[in-house]
Amino acid sequence: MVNGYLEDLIVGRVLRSSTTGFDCGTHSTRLDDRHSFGAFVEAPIANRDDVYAIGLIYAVRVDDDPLVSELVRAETVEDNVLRDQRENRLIPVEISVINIGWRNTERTFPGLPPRPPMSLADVTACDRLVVSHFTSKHDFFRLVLNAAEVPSDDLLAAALHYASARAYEPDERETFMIDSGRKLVRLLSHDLKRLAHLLELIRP
Amino acid sequence: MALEFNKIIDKVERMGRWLARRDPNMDDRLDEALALYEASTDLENIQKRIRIVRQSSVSGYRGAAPLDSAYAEILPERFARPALPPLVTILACDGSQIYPDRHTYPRYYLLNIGLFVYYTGVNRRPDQFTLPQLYYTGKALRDTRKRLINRRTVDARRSVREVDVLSQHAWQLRHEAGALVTFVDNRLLFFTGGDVTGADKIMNEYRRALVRLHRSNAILGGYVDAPQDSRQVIRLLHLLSMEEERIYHSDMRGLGKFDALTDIHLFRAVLRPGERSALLVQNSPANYEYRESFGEDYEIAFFFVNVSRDARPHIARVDLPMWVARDKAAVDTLHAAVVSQCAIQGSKPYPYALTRADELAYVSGKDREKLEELIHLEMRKHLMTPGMTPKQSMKNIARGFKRRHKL
Repeated sequence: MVNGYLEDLIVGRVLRSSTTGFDCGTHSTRLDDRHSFGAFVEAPIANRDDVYAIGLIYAVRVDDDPLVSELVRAETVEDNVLRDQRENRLIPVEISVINIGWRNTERTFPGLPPRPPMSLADVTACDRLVVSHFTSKHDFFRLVLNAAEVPSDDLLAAALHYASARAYEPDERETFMIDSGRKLVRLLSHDLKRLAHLLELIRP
Repeated sequence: MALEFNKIIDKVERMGRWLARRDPNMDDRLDEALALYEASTDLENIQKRIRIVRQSSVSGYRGAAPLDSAYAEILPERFARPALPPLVTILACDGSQIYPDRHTYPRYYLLNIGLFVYYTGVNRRPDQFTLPQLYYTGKALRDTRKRLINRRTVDARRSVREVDVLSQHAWQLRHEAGALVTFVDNRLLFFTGGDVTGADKIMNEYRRALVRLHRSNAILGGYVDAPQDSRQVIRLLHLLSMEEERIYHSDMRGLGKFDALTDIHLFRAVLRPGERSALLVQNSPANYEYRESFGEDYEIAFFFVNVSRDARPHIARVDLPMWVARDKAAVDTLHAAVVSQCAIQGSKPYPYALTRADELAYVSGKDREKLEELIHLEMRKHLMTPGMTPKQSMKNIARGFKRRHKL
């Protein structure tokens, strides 16, 4: 592995976990597109390095920091203070992930993983092939739509946009989104208001 | 059993009333002190009285005194905040510790020093360092009678290590362009008590660190935030209020009619935002010892400064060694650096660099638990068993997590 390659993929490290999801932590300076709402991430499950839980990021929290609260009350904030706060200080960021599937080295599966990841396991952004395999079947929609603890409609829409942009070629994207919309029509035929809202959200 | 608040609440109320009580004559006393302060412009008269209290027949005066004539400033003079030089490097150092615990095995103590480097006049990310040191050998942990060292010894070793680390980094930066300002969050007139193990060695190390700072051309400041008990200038005013003849026969430890006043009371009324007081020295055996043993450059002077930016004054005392106090440009740089650092933190005026140094040095309870886990792991690798006395073990169990049972 080329030096730095894994670092480029790492989203954070697991702080706490269950089969339904996990929280991971990272440093504020590392926040980028990998940490976007709706991004696909994965982490190895406990005591297996060839089976990964696949999840969606549904919340990113920057913890409260009393020192920052004081600094914002000053008349001006010097550039070097800003650099110190942003680049030096350990401002912890917590990322919450809902599990929507899992994979081994050969294929992906919708549903909850057999075991949760262990503390401090590397959480990485899913490879584009993993995302395209996983999303091509749309089987994870029901799990997201039924998840009570997450903003499910917005999360599903964000995940579809993320997958479309990262895992599909430009000429495949429209087909992917139309197929996704059809799946949603089947799942939400009993709730037309919600369906209309979701279709609006995934409109290209 | 937790604290039974119903049994203490009336005492808390009484404490509140006691704290709020005010000497009915306080305002008059303060007005009197202010009038005397403003009128004390005759340096020769002040020096004459200081010479009297320095005579061996008079003892007990621990108040302020002007600097030697060539460098003395008029007592009531106020100095507005000067401009900060174009390039200044500010080093701040602070320390934290884990004390040795006689109830656990193995015994050890830890000093963690945080060093923060802030650059002004240049767009440069501040630098930060932490320097933890673990002490576990018998030599480090025992006094001459083979007893476990006390907390005051650990505190003294930490204080000296702070200044030592500061001096080493100042030495490395001595050729950097611009002024080099160094801060510690403590008074500079450091002294070890008789119960400190290795007191002479500690004082020698402190002296060496001061010398290194001096040779680095560092502008050293000891920042004392809100010195509530400081009465050095009030003592001087008491001395000036006495008839000369009475000085020879009075106990100079007292404050007479100014008994209820502190230096903060005085300077809250005197200093406007950003202003500093005149430079003074403390007349004490400790400072005399510094001057005689360390050298004239190492006697400790001080000034008071209002670091607030608004109408609510916040008074701090800044200690500085004589090599800085005799250099007008260095005093101005220190004054400007203190005020500009305090301005960074909004409504809580305190030097930003010291806040960050403290943050870097702080060892939390969780850090201590993790360190002990690591030590225990190492012990088990070597087939040893960590432990604690039954007393401590039972205390931890009784104080620990309690499950709540619900009916």
